[in-house]
Amino acid sequence: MKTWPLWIAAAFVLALAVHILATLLVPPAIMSVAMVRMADSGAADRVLHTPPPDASARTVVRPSPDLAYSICLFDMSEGPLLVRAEVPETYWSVSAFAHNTDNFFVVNDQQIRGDKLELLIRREEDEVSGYEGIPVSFAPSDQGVVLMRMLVTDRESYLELDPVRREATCETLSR
Amino acid sequence: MSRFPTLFKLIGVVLFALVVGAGSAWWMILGAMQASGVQNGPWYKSTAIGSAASDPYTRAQIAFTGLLALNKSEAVYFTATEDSEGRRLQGHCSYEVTGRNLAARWWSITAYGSDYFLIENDADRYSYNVASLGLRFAPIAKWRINISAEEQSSNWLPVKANDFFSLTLRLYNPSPQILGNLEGVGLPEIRRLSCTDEGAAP
Repeated sequence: MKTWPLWIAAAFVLALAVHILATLLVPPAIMSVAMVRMADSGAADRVLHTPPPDASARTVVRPSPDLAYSICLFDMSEGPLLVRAEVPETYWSVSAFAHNTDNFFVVNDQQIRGDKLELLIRREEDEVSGYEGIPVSFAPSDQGVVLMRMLVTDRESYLELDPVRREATCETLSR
Repeated sequence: MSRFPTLFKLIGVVLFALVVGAGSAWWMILGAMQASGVQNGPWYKSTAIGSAASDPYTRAQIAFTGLLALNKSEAVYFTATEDSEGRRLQGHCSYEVTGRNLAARWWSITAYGSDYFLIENDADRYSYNVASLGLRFAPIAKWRINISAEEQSSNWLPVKANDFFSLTLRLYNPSPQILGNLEGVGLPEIRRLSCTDEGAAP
């Protein structure tokens, strides 16, 4: 019996599987690499504040040299994340990204009432008491990244605004 | 007995699956890049970057080219890999980038090497923006940036002589006029001035 038709069929089925796996795994794999680098720099257990990037910045492609980034990682399996921050007097935004790279939340300084931000990121099914009234964003994945961008126009403004952004906290809450 | 032992057939199947499977995935991701973009002169904007992707190919494209980018109401990112005449941007050539102030809360132009990271240079100069060009209170003023591996007398944006490079134009909180007309809004021109044979990118 000729078996070559079966081998050819197997090759195409396996190629299809590789195609699907490669496409689905690329985004979380790239995000995981970036998150491991951020965690190695200390973003897993505190807010990591980085100065405006220069040529030595190698964590995420196309970094903006006009922005100072503050980063924290979240893991919803450990609990919801409460983000608190002072709003600096410059362009400033807080965005949140799921593990598959989706940008599921963003707000900027002009959209925030007052000079403080409070944000609760949690799973839809998680209940947290004691934080009623705080804006909520539902995380579509257990792990992800919260990224704060602060515009830096020159060194003087950076020195003036840096202490303000360093007031930011990311706190994992117990359920 | 078969002319091809089973082991050879198995290796052939696996090799075929890896090459064709991964290659076709890469081809589809590249296709998603081209299908989901807006071209405006030499500037290209992916409409997928910063969005919650609707299909896995677009999501993979975002992971490669726009990880952690913002959605377009917050920031619009245009990238140029070619000059205004469609020639690839190369570090052994000198360019002038010219334009007028852009209708956004803040904008900047940044140079990146072929690895998509900032280009090391002694001047620590990686970008020009609405403030460093002195345009914050001059809404219709013209401006010019000089891109070259060789030091320039004014507004010098350094690149590496033996490498390709690209430019990213960022507009934070762009005006509705820009958001509604990404293909037609007036964006900076990129004009090649001269090239040297030395340091030509391979």
